[in-house]
Amino acid sequence: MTDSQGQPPDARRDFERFYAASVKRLVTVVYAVTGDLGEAEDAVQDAYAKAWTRWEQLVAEGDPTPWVRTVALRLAVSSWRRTRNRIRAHFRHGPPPDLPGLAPDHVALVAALRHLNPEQRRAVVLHHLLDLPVEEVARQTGSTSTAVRSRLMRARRILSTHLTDSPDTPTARTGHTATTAQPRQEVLPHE
Amino acid sequence: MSDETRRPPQDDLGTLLHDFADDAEPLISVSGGVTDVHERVRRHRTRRRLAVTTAGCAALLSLGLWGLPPLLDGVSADRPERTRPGLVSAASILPAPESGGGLPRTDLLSPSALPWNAGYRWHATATGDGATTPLPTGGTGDCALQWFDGTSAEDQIARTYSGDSDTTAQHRIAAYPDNSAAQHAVRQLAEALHRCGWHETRSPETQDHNSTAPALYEYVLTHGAEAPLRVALVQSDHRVAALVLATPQADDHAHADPRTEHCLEQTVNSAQPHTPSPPSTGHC
Repeated sequence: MTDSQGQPPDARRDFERFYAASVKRLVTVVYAVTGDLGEAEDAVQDAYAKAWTRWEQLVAEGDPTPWVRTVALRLAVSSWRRTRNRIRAHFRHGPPPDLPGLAPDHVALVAALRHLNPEQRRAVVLHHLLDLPVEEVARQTGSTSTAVRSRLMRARRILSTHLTDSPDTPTARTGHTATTAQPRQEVLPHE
Repeated sequence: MSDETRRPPQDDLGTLLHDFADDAEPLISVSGGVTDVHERVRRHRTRRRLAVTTAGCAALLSLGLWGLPPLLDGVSADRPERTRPGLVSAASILPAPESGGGLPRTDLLSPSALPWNAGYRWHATATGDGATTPLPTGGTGDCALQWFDGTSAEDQIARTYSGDSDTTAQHRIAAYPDNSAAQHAVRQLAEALHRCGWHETRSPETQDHNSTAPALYEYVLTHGAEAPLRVALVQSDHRVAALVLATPQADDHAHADPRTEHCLEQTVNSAQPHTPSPPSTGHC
């Protein structure tokens, strides 16, 4: 017996359990990439919708989390969505609202991330937040390792500028490590 | 192994991002939850079905539009001469060829088969190879029609007629080496008529060079030397026929008298023994 969408009830229960366990973390990750909570939720919900239509196949292949995350991030940076959201932002007259209750340091981080282009933001989040190696980041974003390393380096420089007061903050000692010396203590309150 | 291929140790940026995620996650509240996910699935499916249906309808419509002109052409091609009443039918001035070849004089129209016979009471004045009875050369300006002179015509027969009110007519049939030469000749003649200021009132459907269907042209000269004049040209197989009429009614042949119509029909039907004759309206 199947439900209205042609899936057995057990599959639906599994999916809903998976959703409950993973959605918040996934929205957080995508929020770090987009800097816009509404955009992040929208992209994540669409990714789960796509996952549900091929649930049996995803489960058979292992943990569906990487698949859903990859799809959500691709949706979040798609050009169509960016255009649509630019229009929404125009009518909103200002930056998107922050996540209520977020610590000022983290609000500043989200604001600093907005200064990166979408590809840089995605590379930073995949490598530094999700701890994926550069090669894996390249594979998931359809880029080369060289391009990913270049994006990470530029992103660190830009973040360093926006997350520290001092213009003399030293750049990375090696090509792939973070550049900021003490970003936490240097971050000014967002308000 | 390079640093780029293994997981990097948590650097400051990494630490900052992890702290951010730990801080943000409990604050996230997705409006709609999993119910919204299922609703999105339903909407996507509906949109996909609509897109498929729309694409299917668009494809059918395109096929229909592409297919319509040939169908319309087909309909009109069934009756190529019937968008308006013709002067004469193609078969009446160029009957089917003799099996032995040649141009029999019986192929030439009897006087009673000419248009408007009830009004003009035609009679034949001469029948022969047409050498001594040239066709009218009328046209606008300095135009002089050559008709079949100077073409590759191998044989010609002609009959001239006269009728009341100083009306005259001539029916001529020319034979060419083959279908292609006949087609070329009739096209050249049609172009010459056009250049001489004759107005085309009927033309054949677009034919390819291999077509064997009769090609019927009708022209009328309303101004210039010898006007008014009217000609019907027919080309079929290796022959071309011309029926030229010099009558006061050159600009309107749509109202043929019933007797003429009847006689014309009789002439055509007499060649088809099993076709019943129409009711007689008088002697032809």
